[in-house]
Amino acid sequence: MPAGVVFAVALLVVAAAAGWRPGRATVAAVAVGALGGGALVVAWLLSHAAPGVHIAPLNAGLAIWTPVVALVAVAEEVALRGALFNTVRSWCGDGGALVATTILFAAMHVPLYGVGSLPLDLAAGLLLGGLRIVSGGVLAPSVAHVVADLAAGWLL
Amino acid sequence: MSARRGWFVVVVSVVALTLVWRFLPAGSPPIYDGQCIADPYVILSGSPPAQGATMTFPKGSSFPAAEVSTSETPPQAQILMEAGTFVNSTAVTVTITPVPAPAVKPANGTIQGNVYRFSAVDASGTDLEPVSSSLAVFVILRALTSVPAPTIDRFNGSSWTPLSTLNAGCGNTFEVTSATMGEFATVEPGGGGTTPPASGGGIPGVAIIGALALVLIIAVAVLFTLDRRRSAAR
Repeated sequence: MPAGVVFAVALLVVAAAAGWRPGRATVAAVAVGALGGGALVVAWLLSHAAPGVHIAPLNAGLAIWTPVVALVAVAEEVALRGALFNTVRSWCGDGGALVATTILFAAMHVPLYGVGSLPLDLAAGLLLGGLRIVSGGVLAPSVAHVVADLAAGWLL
Repeated sequence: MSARRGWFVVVVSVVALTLVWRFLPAGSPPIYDGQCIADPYVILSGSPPAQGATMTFPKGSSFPAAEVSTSETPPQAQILMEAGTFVNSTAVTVTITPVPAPAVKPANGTIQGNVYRFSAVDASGTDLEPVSSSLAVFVILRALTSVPAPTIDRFNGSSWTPLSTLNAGCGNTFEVTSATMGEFATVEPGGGGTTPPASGGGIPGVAIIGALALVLIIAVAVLFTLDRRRSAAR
């Protein structure tokens, strides 16, 4: 958990150093993000082999895990779909930015989940990049990312 | 790129996600992400040895939704139970115990790590099973590696049966649902040995942090290089 916080803060520092600044938050962006997060969770539910989906019992570990995971998800979005996306887009357009951020997003998850997670994280990164293009900012992909990640801990 | 094309990307990615989940479930984390640092795997014959876990649920009108897990990070063995899984007319004790591997070997591969016995007993010591298959328990075990993806097998006293296994994410953990209690172990297809390395399995925390730091450094280098080019072009 401390490593997660350090990682998130480092990403935010990098994004700030690269010139990223938060834009104006809109209800529409939150709604688009919630829609994207719902799509990420529903895609998982469609393949879920268990007989049902259940909400995890609240415990101290989950109470600490939840804000840390949310922070890491937002930091990843700020760094990737914020700073990096803006920089690459100015160089080779939205398409190049989409490809670059999607590949980096998948690559940075390999140390934790192995190369077997690459197809899933490429698809998830593509979705988050699509939300970035649709909404014009990082709020929508951040909301979607947080929803999907928290579902990993709260849904069984 | 227009918002319309952005939506097209979203739709394509949702289709891709569904296909990946459908055809590559064992290779995919439980949903998408999560942060964890995995302690070294602890084996039954190690020093200190692997520990079990037990929890007693008092007599009640309905067995509560609950989880019991061993104390490692992440737990090497865990059981999740829905409300009503066991008859709760007396106190129910759920126990996870690491046990020596049976002499009988699985036909589909080689046992990785410890064999764990999952049991539930009532106040008189009578073994309990889930009251119905719709209230099957979730058994989550940590493996030594996720490549190749192991299965979780159940031992019924005479033979091992591989169960439909999903990757549960952090620290090479895998999950199955089972309508019966018993002994469970992760099985590596084709072999590998029943004895894990003394230092344990999983990805060391230092390696994870090092790899993430490397990605971070690359990202910084890319950002500043591109920024410099952009400035020079103006």
